[in-house]
Amino acid sequence: MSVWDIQTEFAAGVFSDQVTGGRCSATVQCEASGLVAQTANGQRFFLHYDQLQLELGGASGRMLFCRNSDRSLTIFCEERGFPAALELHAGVMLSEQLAGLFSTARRGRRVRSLLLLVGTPLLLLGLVGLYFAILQMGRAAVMTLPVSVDQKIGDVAAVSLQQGSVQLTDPRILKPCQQIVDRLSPYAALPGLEFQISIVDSPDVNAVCLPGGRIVIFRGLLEAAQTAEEVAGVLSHEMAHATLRHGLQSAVRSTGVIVAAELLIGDAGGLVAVIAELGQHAAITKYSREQETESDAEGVRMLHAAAVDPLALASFFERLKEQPQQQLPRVINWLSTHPQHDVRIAAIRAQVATLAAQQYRGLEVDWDGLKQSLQE
Amino acid sequence: MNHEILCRPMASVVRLLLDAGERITCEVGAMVAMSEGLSVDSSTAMKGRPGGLLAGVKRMFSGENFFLNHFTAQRPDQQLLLAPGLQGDIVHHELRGGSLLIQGSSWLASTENITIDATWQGLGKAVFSGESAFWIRAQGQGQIFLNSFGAIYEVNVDGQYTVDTGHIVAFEDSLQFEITSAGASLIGSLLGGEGLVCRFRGQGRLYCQSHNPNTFGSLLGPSLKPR
Repeated sequence: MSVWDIQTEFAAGVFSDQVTGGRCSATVQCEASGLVAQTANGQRFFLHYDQLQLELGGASGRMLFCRNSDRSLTIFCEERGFPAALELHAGVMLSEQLAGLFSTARRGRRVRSLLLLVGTPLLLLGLVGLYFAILQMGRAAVMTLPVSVDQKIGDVAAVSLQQGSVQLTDPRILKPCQQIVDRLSPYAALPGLEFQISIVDSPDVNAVCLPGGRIVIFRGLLEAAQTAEEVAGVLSHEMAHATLRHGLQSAVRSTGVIVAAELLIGDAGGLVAVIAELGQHAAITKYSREQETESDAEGVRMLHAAAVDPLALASFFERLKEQPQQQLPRVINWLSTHPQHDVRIAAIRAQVATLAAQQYRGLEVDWDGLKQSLQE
Repeated sequence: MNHEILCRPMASVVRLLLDAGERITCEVGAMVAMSEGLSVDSSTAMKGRPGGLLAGVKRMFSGENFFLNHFTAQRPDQQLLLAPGLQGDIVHHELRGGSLLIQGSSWLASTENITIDATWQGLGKAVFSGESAFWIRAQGQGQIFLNSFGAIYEVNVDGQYTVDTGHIVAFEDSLQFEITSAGASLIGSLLGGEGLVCRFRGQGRLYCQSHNPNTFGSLLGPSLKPR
């Protein structure tokens, strides 16, 4: 580019006590010995190159301020070609100052770009990490809550679970089921839970143990089971969900980070309120695969401790698997939440093999009376 | 166009006297009273200036309205009274070239040779300055009226000047500001209640407001009954 291609006149401004208000707009020209600024009303200002003090700033960060030594006159310009024109006309008098200013500005821009480039993903990553850490810690904090919280949430969930269903109250059905639960409950991992049963007149092969210990058994489960030990196997698994507080953990997962954060400071009120507002058992009986595996292992431990053969749970799974296709919709309720049962059967058998020798005792319940009553 | 600012500083109103053909543009809802020889029309851009729907949307992000109202005097000696929504002061600024950066909602009115546009202030300033994410940039030559929450005070900065976040009304484009801690240590500043502040550098005029509308809102909010 030749000197003739360089723009020499720029839109600029002047700070001086000699202009009204101390500031006005002007045009600035780079002349041989200095800068000349001319205002709209004809005032003319001159700054010699050898007395110029330069500064970069303004709201955009690209405004070049040219001042005299006592700062009584400042000519400033933001136009892109101005620094180049200034350097061309002033030569060595200003080249060092200009180079210093622009290298500092470039360095600042680079640092800011780098910070933005590195900082933004790190910030996002940190926020995502914090979100999951709070959720995780919230779930862990569930284990420190008093059992009364489980009971409150279980009471709320029971209302929605049993809504519109008919309860079976025949003692020939209720008593054997309660006896099975009574045999297992002394070995529950969480003390203080009161396991109460109710039986719903539904053909679904299902059972649920809500937080706090409320157990709902569906008629279909009792019909599908061949022995009381198989019922004990299923109930031990369901009771383990309550003793391991999986329901509360699921509730924390589905209610979000604010409730989890509240739990971390020891306030369970939000959790109970959210469950009450949702009014749904689904939020606390939808378990993850890891929770199902944990419950299998805990169920087996409880059965073994209560001297009930834990393999009954595995044999119940096997038989359900072999149900004819047309009966599957009834069975699907329980199995759908318990996937990969081949893997689970194998895991149960492997766990049983590691257990200490135990003399298993049969469940002394009137199983035939229960079956007969169901048929009636 | 003559003007007079009345009832300063907490309930300020600006009274404008317009000659035939003179026009002023102001924010929607600012008109308090007017003579009958004034015509009013609304648009999304300044009269005779580029803009349109996008300019209106950008202005909304800065805390202003989508529309602008234009008052034109059809006869000599027409009076127009303008006041902002919030209780506070009004100040007159004469723009002689360059631009004035105004925090969202502090622009009240300006004459026809001034362009009003919204400008992004940058991520850091958007988050920490205590102001809107967008500012109003007024450019050209003419009169601008600014409003504040509480009283306005004017500072001619030459060097450095510090203002608490949420107290900026407007500043000339020859000033640069950064968000920084009030003291040497950020933790000390936070504990002292000052936290982050806006530090201005350069030379130019700065308008600040005595009160912070966000602080007032957070004090008042909890005492209000839910609707």
